[in-house]
Amino acid sequence: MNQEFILGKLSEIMKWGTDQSRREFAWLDLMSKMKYDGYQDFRAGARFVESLADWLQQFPTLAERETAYGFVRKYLVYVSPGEMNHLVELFFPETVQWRLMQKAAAQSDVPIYRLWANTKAAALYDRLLRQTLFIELSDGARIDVFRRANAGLVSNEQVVTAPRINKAKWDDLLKDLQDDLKDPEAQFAFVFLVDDFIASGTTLLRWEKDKNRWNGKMLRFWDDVEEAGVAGTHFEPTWVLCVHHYLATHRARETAEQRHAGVLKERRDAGQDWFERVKFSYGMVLPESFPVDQAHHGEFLKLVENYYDDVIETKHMKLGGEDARLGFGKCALPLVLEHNTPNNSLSLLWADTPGEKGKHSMRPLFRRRQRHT
Amino acid sequence: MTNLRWGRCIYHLGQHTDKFLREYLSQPDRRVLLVAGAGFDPRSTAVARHIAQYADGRARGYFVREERPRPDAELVARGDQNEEALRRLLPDCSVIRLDVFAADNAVVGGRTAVGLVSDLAIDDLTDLFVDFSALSIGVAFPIVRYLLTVTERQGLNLHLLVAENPGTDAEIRSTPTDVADAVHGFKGGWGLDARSRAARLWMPQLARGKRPVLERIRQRVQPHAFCPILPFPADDDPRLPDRLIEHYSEEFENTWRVDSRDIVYASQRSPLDLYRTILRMDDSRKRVFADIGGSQIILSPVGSKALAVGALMAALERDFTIMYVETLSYSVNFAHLDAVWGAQTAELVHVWLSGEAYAPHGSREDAEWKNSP
Repeated sequence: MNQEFILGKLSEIMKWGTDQSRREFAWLDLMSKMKYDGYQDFRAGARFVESLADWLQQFPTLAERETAYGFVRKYLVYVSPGEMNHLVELFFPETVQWRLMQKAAAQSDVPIYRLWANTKAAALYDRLLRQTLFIELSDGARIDVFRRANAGLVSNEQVVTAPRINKAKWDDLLKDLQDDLKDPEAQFAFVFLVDDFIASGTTLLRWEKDKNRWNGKMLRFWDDVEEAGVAGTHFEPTWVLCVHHYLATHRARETAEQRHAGVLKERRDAGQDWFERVKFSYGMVLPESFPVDQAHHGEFLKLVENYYDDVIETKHMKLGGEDARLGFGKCALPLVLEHNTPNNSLSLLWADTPGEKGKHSMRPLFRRRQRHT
Repeated sequence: MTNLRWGRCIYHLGQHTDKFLREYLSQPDRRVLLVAGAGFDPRSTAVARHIAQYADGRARGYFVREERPRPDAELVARGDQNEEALRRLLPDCSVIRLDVFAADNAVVGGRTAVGLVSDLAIDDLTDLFVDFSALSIGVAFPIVRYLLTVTERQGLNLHLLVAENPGTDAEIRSTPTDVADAVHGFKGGWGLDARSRAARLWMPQLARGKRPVLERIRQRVQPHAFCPILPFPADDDPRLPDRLIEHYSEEFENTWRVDSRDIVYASQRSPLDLYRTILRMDDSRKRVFADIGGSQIILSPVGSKALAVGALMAALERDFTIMYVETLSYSVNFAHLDAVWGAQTAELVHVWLSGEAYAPHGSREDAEWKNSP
């Protein structure tokens, strides 16, 4: 579609005068090209500006449209493909290397700053690196980007693309390790569970009242290790589980560690095992002030309140609470990731509903592909 | 990527820097020299406080007061206060007044600084620390290049430190001269006939308030390609890249004609991230242009100090051109600056450039990076 044509339509919707149209067109055109048009769920003929025009038209008054547009202009955070890939590229040198250096230095009894100058300690680092596994927790882990960024450092046999691993796969991984190190006794020393984003921490670890048990991706990984019976055979006694997210909310950083501590205590009290050594890390943590709140975004929250269709409150969404206006877990995030919009973001940004039974038909600015229905 | 000199680098960020300095400098055999700026910048004393505390009685200071024509009285008063504070922290010190401009307005600060530093007695030292926090790049970069050569020859340790505080950078306004030129010691073949056919890639580091400076550099460089550097991740401000794109909208759209895939993202707090990225790009371009005139990368680190360190490391390793515009004068709203400085904690960044942290000079490991293409 001709960009000027759709911008003209947008100008009609927003009733912009000549000067304002010129200013806004410049911004929209630039930001579409530099960032927003990279959103994976946009379709040919209906990318950012078209979606924006559609989204704004669900608000009947000009004042509401101005509030909505102003929110996008000033507060929305869109993480572009380039930005997300950069967080992936940072993972190894800024997180993995540091963790391995700490362990290699401690085991070699040298200060970390002497590690590279100490031949034995540096060799131990290299061995620990090979004794490390990288397991993606979802497609968002972009393990292909990780592989390319670390070609020559991390071998393909160290990267597992399926989050569930059976006994045969564990055995293959161990055999590759022992063959590479020419050491039939070698075991894994580090496992990195990798995912793109953590907002509430629920997907990683949660207490399910109705089932009276903990659940989540960490639990499933624990169950897989237990079921395969590999904890004692495939891992060194002091192996470390590292959970890395490229992007996290401030809240998730707090809750993930608290929940892990809760599981550890509860299972110990019940005489059950759990990961002994767990380290959490994040490529980027969004500031505490990031979620939308009444004090700073009162007018926009009126739109969130008024233009809502509770049909989005699926069984999965209800795991995060009854009302999904502020997104899953009431995280209230003004956040869009290039490959999908998190369900923890304000539903007004991503929900697409038919508006049946007199409900409001929500139009998405960045349509979300549902992973849980 | 080919072997990088600092691919396995000892560096620390934030609380890790403090821990390193405490443990390292507490060793009674450490004899330390701190080279730092004694200017109006509130960061002038941050590093010296750490050094004085942890290497009490074993550290000397060499403080540079950069003198520019007709300074504002408040700037001078603040410089006096900081100089006094530095003298109290490290009583065994010299304070040098360095004219950045000659009588004919030629930029002489870098060359003069090297001459002064070359007279330093360093034989009794174990460690030299260069604090970038309150030094301009026209002075700091040549000093580091010179000291790197000397410390490698004498087997001393050379460290870089920065009290990183982007808010402070943003509050300091500079009036540039009219001339863009290479930093002393960082011509990188600029102007040589042998480079006349080279494909020039300019990588300006973007920061607010630097448009006139970057335009002067662009006119001088006449690049064939642009890859602007945006700070990401920037933990405190996830919208910073968007705001910088908007700030430089005219350049992105019309002068530089930036494609979104040309944007380079660099972690605001990690010099090593930018260093690696620049060298990765150099590797790719070298091959492309090897037989058709060669590739020349020109860097302009006008933004955060931590990123400037990354650019410096890349330039030291591959002899890139550092093109800049010297500052004629500074103007500061001290009420704003004090508020920003009081509200944000400066994060110390440490990079260990050479010395005992690495394989001995001339060893096999050392030869690997030197022989890399």
